[in-house]
Amino acid sequence: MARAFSSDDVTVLPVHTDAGSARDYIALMKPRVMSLVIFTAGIGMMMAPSSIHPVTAFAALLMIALGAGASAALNMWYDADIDSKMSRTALRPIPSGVISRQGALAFGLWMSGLSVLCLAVMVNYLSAALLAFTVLFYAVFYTMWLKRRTPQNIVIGGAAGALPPVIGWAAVANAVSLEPLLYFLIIFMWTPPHFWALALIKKDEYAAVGVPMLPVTHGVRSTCWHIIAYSTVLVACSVLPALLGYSGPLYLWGASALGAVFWGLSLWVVGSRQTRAAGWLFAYSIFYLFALFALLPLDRWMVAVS
Amino acid sequence: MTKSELPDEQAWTPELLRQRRRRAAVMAVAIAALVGLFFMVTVVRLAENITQGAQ
Repeated sequence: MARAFSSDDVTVLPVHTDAGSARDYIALMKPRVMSLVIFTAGIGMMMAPSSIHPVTAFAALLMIALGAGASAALNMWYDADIDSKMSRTALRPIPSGVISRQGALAFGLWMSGLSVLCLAVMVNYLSAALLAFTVLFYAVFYTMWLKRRTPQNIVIGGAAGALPPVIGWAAVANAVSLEPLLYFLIIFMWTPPHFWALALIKKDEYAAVGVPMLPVTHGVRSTCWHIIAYSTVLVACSVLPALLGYSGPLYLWGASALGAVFWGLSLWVVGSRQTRAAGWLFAYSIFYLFALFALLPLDRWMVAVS
Repeated sequence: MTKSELPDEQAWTPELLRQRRRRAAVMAVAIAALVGLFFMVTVVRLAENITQGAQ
């Protein structure tokens, strides 16, 4: 006999009002992630060999930021059911009831289309194509497919977050060379230890909503060893721009020092397996990426003036 | 069940109407800014083309 349908079978979301303010729609675009996207895309633009008019550069950055925000809105639309059950995401605009799922979907789709189209018209087709790929990869491939299926979700999905410096470079140079691909590689290798540190802290919540993060599927010990392995590769990749002659000694020494701290914190996580250590690694990883990418133009400027 | 009793509908209270007006105003400013940006990028491109043509 078929089991009766109970209220436990569905996720009850608040009655929507679509009463979201502009601030709620900004929150829907994950502004902290967007700031990292703007920063790394801006560094990609600064490091590109040719130049671009400041107005066009502003337009390019704005559209890249809007594209990133649109994919975040689509992510929140799709993940509204699990967001409402996790403490970290329960206050997002959809779970808190200020923006409806349909509203978030419409906003995400319109912003995606608008950002890609404007980037194509105002800047160039290559950067627009890369932005379209990034939005699709994050919203469809990562959010709808990878995230709830495999513990490698953030390893593969990290490609979307690693593309902004390549898009920034393409916006200026209208081409992609090895150098921006190194920036891609650095962010790609940074993403797993960054997210696994968070997943170690929020392991129980991810388990409760059925998201197969590595600490849930393979345990804390295995995750810690994955963190140290990826941190080692990350530190090695971070010095490649200097070793291949794209950056100078300031970047080399800076990246080495920043990487040594990153690696040390990863070792602490492995050794202690404490959430406090994971919390420190998560917080430091954000500073690390900002500082590492800030070193790139700083180093170029130092080489130019010396 | 009448239309107003549907669980996902809410009446437009004065607060909701105020928020809708505020959203519309923000949207108008955003569209105006986008039009302005298009205009400036067009001017920059025209200027670049003129400069290149003169060389």
